[in-house]
Amino acid sequence: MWKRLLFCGWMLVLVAPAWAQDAIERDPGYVNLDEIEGWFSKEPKIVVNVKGALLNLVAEASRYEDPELADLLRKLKSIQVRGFDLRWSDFEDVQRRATALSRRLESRGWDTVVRVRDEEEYVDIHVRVEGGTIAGMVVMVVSPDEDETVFVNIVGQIDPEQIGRLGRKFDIEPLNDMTLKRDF
Amino acid sequence: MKPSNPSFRDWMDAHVEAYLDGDLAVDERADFEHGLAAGSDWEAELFLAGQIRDGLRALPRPACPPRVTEAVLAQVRREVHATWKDQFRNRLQQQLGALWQPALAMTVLLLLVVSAALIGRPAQPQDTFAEAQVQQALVEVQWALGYLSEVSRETGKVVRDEVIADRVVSPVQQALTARSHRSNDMQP
Repeated sequence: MWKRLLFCGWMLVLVAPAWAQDAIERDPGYVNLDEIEGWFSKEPKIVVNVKGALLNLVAEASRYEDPELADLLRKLKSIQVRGFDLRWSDFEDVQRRATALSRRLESRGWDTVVRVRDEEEYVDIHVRVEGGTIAGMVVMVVSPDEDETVFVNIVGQIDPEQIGRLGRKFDIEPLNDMTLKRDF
Repeated sequence: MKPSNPSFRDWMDAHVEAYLDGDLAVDERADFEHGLAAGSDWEAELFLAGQIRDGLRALPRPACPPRVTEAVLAQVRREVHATWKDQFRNRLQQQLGALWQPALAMTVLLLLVVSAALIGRPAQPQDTFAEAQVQQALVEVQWALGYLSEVSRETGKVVRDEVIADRVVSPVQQALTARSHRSNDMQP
């Protein structure tokens, strides 16, 4: 019996570090955007990883000027963004990979709420619904024409209407010219 | 056994009281009466024993003092209670004796898992951030929300212009126009 128990113990020791990973990575609304970086020959132009304690600090930092934004951010667990330059020659390949990712998400229980396909643009918006509320959102925009290929994953209790309303206030132009690469 | 045998005398001595009380078995009673018949001194012994028994029975029977009765009952209760406790303790020891090894093994396993989880935990991101980092993160979060809002608006426009307008509104308008023309043509 002792040998069996010892064997089980070692198996648990080997498996335990996987359990100990960040809780956010086990969240049903989380999608690892790092794997997308492998689709492109260049490094991403935009990398945003805001989660955990930093996200809480951001929420509190915005509370005075924008309490609604603070409340929205308090319900979120993570915001990831990856932005890439995309050449026309790579458009088809990236589109094919994005379609495969969409199918994988759908097979894992994600719903596709928007799907736009035309010659110059590919847009997919997926949401993960848990217990009647949106627990995760993935936005994939592949568009070589405007050098605008962006992947976004938001984890947490999401109210799309609130995001749309709040997001209208924010100017996204300045960041288009910035090269961000941050990982807290 | 013959009445003249010394051990028979001892046997008779030992059974006088039992004979008087009527406690001897049938064959023992027969042996005893055979001994009585063999010697006259046994009659005297039997008479004396009968007198002693009657004298003892005639003595007044003193009542037990209440405190003695209470003390005895208390002692009995304690002993009975102690017996239950002993039984419970013994049963518990037996059960624990069978369980302590698996329990110890599970505890060791649990400690191993907890230790491994703590040791194997990846380095946690820093929990303290400079003001500039927080401000930068705020800009990034606002940008992400602004971007999502814009994508939603753009896709909404696409749905409106290319789906609803082209595939719903236009066919309906065309149908209404055609119907209107037909109506005009039919009028005299």
